[in-house]
Amino acid sequence: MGRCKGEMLDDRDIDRLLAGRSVEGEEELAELLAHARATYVQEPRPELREHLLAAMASERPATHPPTPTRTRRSMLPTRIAVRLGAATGALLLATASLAVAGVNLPDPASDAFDRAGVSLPNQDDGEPADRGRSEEVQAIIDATPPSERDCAFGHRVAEAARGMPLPEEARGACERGEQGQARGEERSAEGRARAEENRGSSEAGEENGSGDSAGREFGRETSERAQEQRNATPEQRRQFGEETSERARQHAREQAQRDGNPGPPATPEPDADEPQGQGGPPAGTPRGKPEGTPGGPPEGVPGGRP
Amino acid sequence: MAFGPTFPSVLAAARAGGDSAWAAIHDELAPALLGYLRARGAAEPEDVLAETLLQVVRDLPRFDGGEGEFRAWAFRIARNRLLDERRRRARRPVDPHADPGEPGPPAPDAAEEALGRIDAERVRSVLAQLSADQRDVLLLRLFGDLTVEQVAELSGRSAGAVKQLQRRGLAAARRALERGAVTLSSLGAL
Repeated sequence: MGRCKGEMLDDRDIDRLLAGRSVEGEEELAELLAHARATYVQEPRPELREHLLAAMASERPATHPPTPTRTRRSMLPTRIAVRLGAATGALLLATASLAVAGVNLPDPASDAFDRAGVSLPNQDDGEPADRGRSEEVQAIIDATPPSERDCAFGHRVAEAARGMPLPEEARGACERGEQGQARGEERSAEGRARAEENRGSSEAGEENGSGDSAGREFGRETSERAQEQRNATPEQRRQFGEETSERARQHAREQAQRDGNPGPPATPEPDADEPQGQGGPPAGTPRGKPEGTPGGPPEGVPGGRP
Repeated sequence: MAFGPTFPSVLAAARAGGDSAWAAIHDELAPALLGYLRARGAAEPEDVLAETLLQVVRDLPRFDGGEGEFRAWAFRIARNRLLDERRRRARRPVDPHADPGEPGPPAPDAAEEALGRIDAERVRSVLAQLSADQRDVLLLRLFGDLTVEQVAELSGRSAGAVKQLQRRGLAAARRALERGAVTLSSLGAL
């Protein structure tokens, strides 16, 4: 049995109409609902669909790679991330440049490059270089009989421990000591001769001959301390090298004073910006930027944000 | 239902970040959501649609249910975003937008376009005769394929109130058709 037009709709008929099915006597209403659905329910424009899919991809959790296109809302974090990335890149580049220039980086900085799988040049790894220097020091000690451990021996040990030549002033100390020794011997002989003549007048000669004994003392102490470095840590060995170098300079200064020369300054100028410890570049390696290097960014790189 | 038995796998793929799964969800939801938002008179229906879909993406990990629940959940979000838009626009005065809003872009063919405009105007005129609550309930059921219970839950009404609203709404639409909802003036632009 059909139903009359205008009759009250029951729930079943309403469900049928809203589901898009026909109901007897309600054809016009069913047609209207079908038109309503066809009029409003339409595929979004292709560009809108693309935009929405990209925005949805960018909103997914971080484990999923975002697509290049982003919504206006998500552009702000992108800009921040780009700036942070650029700053981090610049910092890494600057740090790597320091390493190339021969500067030993602190452990946290070196570790960061290690974790990133980047091998930095001119960096101590704390083991092989120190081990090599320790063996070299030991070889010098073993090859030098105790009777020959003089000033030059101390310098060789100091240079081996330091990993680089001693300053020119320190290296000249032994020569000056030998010259002082020769002069002392001459003066001692002369004094002894005078003593023979004048009794007790050889004191000056003994005094001038103290360069030799000071050099031997320096060599002996250096030898003893070097032997203590067998089980020392890399840092202790580095400290030993620096102290020995400083003692060699001090020895040279005292020798020069005895000879009447001004001697090297307490802190030699060429060492003023030397890296502490081993691993630095050879003498004469320029540290600053070359002359004429522009300070600004390369041409064509805008200063503003991308 | 569009997905049917495949819905659980589509949902799992979407949770895993599958692009094709999200594209399928978009293609299934976006037309109906956009139609609902336009018919409800959203000032910027595409923006509200985008907010809705982004909310779906963000909250999907917390969703639990079948395809019907998923669809109802998406329409609940769209409805809430629409209310948000209206509150925002109420705070800053703008020229009032007719409710229901403009339908989607017309068909490219001139004849189809003319017929489409007649149908669109007819539909708009009929929908304009309904109260906002009647329109809301009927559009959720018609475009969202939602049950009375789902509409009741997402709109905060009882099932009986929803049934009453849809019955009265359809009765009002029928009366509008009998009166001739599309006037000559509305066809004057053709």
